[in-house]
Amino acid sequence: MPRALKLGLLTVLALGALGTLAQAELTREGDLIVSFQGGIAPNHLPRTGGAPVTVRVAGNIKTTNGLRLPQLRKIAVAINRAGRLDDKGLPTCKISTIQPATEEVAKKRCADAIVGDGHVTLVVRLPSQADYISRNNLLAFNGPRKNGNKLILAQVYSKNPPGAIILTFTVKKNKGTYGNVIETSLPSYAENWAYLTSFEMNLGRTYKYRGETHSYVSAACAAPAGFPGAVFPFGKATYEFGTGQSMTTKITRSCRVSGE
Amino acid sequence: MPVLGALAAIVVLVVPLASAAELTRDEYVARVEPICKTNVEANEKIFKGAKEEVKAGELKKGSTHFFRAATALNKTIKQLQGVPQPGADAAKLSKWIGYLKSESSFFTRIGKALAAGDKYKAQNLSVKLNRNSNLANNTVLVFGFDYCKIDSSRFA
Repeated sequence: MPRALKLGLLTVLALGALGTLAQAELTREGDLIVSFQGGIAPNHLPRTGGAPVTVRVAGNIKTTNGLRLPQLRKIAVAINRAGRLDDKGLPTCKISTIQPATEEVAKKRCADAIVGDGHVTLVVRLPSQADYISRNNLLAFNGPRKNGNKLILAQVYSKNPPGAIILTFTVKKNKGTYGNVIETSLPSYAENWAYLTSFEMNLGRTYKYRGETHSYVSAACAAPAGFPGAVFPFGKATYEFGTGQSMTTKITRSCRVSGE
Repeated sequence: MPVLGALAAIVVLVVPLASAAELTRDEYVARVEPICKTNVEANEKIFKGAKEEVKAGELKKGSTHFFRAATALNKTIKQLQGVPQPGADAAKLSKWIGYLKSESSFFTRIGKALAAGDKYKAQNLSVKLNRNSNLANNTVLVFGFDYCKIDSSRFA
């Protein structure tokens, strides 16, 4: 595990909020390289309160010299605590409703519970077949609660060969800078063949509940008084592999204060 | 003839010394990581209280942290430049040192902007500093640095 402190420096001008810049942070350990990208849109936000945003988290896994990828078993993405998730009054969807189902069927059955989308790329390894790459769409649904935690059900649907994996993300609140944690594990039924190489998930929607507009994700740009914006720790991703290896990478983003 | 013999002996001696001075990538990492560690530890002290001062609007006071960080980083850069580099990585490391120099320059410029009360400039420079940190880290990804990797979230 890399240490928390580095040649570290940077700006004290940032005080927790969210923003975007299209940069990825890479981490390398031995032959394995992982990246984490993400941010929010829009990144012009009010200084206080919160405004509706879409949060994007994405990552890649690759090896140097074309070596065989280890299997990614767990992803934990921790996002700055200034982001807020609100699902009050938002319909939920059960796994049994969207599995088994095609992307279109899942969309129809749980249309009111959709909270995001994205893409997942896998290397499929099946016995007595050559490995091949499967590029799949991801649909994220507001799930029920489990042990008091919110769930996000991500259907990863492949058209060829047809089939789906459901990634169940647990949403947890932690202490510290990265207070919003979403984590998922590869389902056991996919462990024999699915080797994830990249993922992207965009979360965000607005909806009406009892006459009021709610946003599934909202954020503010909490820059110090007089500053036009802030640079802040956006999030960190931790990847755990079947080999026991674990790698963490963090990203910093910026936001601008709107309406002043 | 004795002179030639002596020259030959010097050449024989010098050549092995020259190759011994060139480090492998792993040796280079082992030499520079302690240098960076010292900088990391110094910065922990340097930036203590900076966030609170900026938040409280004490910008002039806040600026001093950045000037001190620039001085500390310049010292670190000089030490890093003194470490022999693996020949194959010279271009990469030279680029990295360039980014570290920019890092130091950004500190000074942010410090000046804060001292002048120019919050817009300080904010813009901090965004550029963050980009520069990422570029620096990506340049030396192959080294698998720990302390020599800039962790911009540490003080953000």
